Amino acid sequence: MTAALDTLIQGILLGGLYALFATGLSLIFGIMRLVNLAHGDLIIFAAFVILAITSALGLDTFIAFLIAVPIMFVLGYALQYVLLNRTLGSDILPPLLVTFGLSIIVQNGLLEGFSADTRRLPIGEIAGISLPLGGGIAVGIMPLLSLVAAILVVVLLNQLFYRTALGRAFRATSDDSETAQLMGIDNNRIYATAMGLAMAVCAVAAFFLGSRATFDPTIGPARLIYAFEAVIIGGLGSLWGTLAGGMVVGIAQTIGARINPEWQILAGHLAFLVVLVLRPRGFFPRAFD
Amino acid sequence: MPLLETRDLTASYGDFQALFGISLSLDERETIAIIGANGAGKSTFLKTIAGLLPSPPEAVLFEGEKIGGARAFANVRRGIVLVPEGRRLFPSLSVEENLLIGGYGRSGRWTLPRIYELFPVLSERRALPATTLSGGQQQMCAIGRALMADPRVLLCDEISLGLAPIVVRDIYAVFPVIKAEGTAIVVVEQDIVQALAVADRVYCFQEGRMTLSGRPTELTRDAIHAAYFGV
Amino acid sequence: MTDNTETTPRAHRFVVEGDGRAPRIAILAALVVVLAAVPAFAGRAALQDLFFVFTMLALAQYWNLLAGYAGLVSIGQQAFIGLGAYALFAATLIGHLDPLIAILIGGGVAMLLALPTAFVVFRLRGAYFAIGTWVAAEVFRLILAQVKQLGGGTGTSLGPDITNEMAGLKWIAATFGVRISAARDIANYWLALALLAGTLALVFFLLRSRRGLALAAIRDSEAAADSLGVDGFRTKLVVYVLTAFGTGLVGALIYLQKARISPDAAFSVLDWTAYVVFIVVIGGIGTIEGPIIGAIVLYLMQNYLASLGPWYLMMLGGLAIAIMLVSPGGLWGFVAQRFDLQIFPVRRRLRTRAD
Repeated sequence: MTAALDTLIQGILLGGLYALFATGLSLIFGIMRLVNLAHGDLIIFAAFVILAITSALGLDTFIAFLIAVPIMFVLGYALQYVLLNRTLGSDILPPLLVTFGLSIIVQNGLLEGFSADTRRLPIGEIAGISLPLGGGIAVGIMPLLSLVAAILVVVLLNQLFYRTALGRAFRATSDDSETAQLMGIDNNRIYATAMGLAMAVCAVAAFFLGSRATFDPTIGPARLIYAFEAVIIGGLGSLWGTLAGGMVVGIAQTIGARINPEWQILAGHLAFLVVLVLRPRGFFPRAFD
Repeated sequence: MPLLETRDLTASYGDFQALFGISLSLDERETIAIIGANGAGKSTFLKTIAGLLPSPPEAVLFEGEKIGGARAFANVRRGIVLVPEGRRLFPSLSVEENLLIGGYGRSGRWTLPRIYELFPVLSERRALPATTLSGGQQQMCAIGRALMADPRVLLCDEISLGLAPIVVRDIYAVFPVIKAEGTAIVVVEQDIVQALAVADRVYCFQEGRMTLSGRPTELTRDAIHAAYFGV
Repeated sequence: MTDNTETTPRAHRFVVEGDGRAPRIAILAALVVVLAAVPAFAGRAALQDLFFVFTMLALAQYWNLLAGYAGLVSIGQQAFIGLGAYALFAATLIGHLDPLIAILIGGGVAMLLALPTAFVVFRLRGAYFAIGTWVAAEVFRLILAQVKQLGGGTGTSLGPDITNEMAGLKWIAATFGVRISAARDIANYWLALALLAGTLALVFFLLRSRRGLALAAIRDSEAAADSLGVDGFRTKLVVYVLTAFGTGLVGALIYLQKARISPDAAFSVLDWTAYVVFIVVIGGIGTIEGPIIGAIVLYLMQNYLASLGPWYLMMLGGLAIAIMLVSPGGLWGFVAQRFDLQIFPVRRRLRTRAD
């Protein structure tokens, strides 16, 4: 019984990390129907940015992370404004192929710049601390913080969407980009801002990923797949849904790992496929899409 | 100098030409109406002025400045605001949010309380999704949304479309208040009676060309009929 | 003086016809014959290079059929490479079948498994469909990595007892006066040429057929096509399954040539999707000629630039992006539009003929 509960808890915590991976992807798709195939690679890119700041400026990893967030925002804004905005339209090929090419470029750029060595973000002893919950179950403090961060990010984004003028602009543009222009909204800037936000969230994801596990330039695509699975399971258009979807993937993977460590990732994929077959629209799809 | 002017404005959808050289002008505080059958190019005309469709810079002038081809959001900042055909309220936004978003790019004398004063029924439903409103209420919301941008030129595209005559009368009943603010208005209408009642000048389009222009009092029924149907 | 002008318009018949040009096809057939004769004067290195070009080109034609014509952008075609390859290894290592038959089995297995795959991934659209196909490929990879009889995660090899016993090798060795290992290269080369020719023929005739017209309609507007009674789902399914078959055949052949397999290699996104996508995009998507250009370009780039490692791949990515933004029709699209060329005539023209 304790083992089952422990598995569930570990799965939920892992799900928090996957939700962080997925939130940026969900945001972008919700606002501009763009799926960025380089999303996972950009998370890894952000991890390397944090790493570079710590080694170049000798700063604490957390401080480096705080600096990395606005840097990623600006990079995301520029990426969208200069490149990805040109791919938007009714044809699905250009954004797919351009972001696919981008994925290859980011991965190989990182390989070239940082080599294929696996890295870790140094965070000191906090990495090893765990909180006992009683009954022999303990939760690592970093995994717990990543879950907290995931929830916090979703809460903040929802506040942004439903309580601010910018959020209204996001929702209006997502509904009807032509009429949004009639409101004085510059679509190009809105999309760029959205991508900037998504990249900022990727920086958060990168911090928690890099501090609890090793990373190298090639692991981006796998993160994209987990993120994508979380979004589909949760249902397109809902950030809380994406959070829940992350949990499902995390729990499925953890259960799989308990049965046989080699089955961890496969278990996640199978859970995804099952949901896709039984509930193609996910668990919490938005009413209109 | 006219407030808004088009010079030999043409517009095409791919190979199909919708407008063949329209030249007209709109003065401050003036209300003009454009009438014509379906497909005459009236909506195309408004969309081109608003910036949703491309045009050469010199084809559209605002206060003497060439604005042809400027993007729609830039024109809103200038005070050229379009109430689009079919209302096109945002389904994800409530009534109040739809009004608020109208003031995103530009705002001024029209505030939320004033809009609610103008259209009390919107105030009653302010928190509901905009799509739950009736057709007439949606039209009021769309006009209110446009007013929030404090327009210098208000472009109204077929606001009577699909609405019962009494509802149309209620909507047009607020026009004097809008005019009192000094807003110039361009109304595209299929309801000729309403168009003649509200406008200082009337233009008739037929298959992309202007076939008639004049003051409502000067135009005879036969002249309008001939211009409308092109016989 | 008589007036020659017509006073009544002539009646016209509207005819839709293909672009004919059968003689062009004859030239292409001759080209195939010429290529078949290459082993008579080319060395093993050249044969291996051409093997690479032919197989990549075939894969590109299939991907192009899916994406450019059926509108199904898949980044999971490596699933069928891997399935075809592993089916070949299983058929030869465990089933003790001749490699030639094993290739066909490879195609068959890929085709069979394409059906449940489609059942799942067709629930997704657009970019999500793309990632879904990738997930499917990953599932197959992970499952096969568990199969110990085929080497598990590290993979396995085909020994000479299998590769040198393929039907026809002894005849080739005798005819060309070469050792069995060289005969293998010749045989695999011919198989690759045959597969490519078959692929081109299949794609060409499919697109000229009524189903091809249906594809074009679906690609342009599925809703409109639907209203005319074109079954979008069924047509796409047929294309998906056929593509899986062809891809499986090519995958089996490629790994017969390599004689060594591992899950990571056989299901590699880079080798079997990235390069294929680059071929199609750089060459010209939605045309038969485009991938031919693209395959040649990739071969040249691979030959001269692969030593640059990550920079080479970054260049490929950058080139694909640039092409997508500047000339979405690729190199061939640019040329074809300027000179109105078509080597493989699959377009249909509306012509009027006076009665």
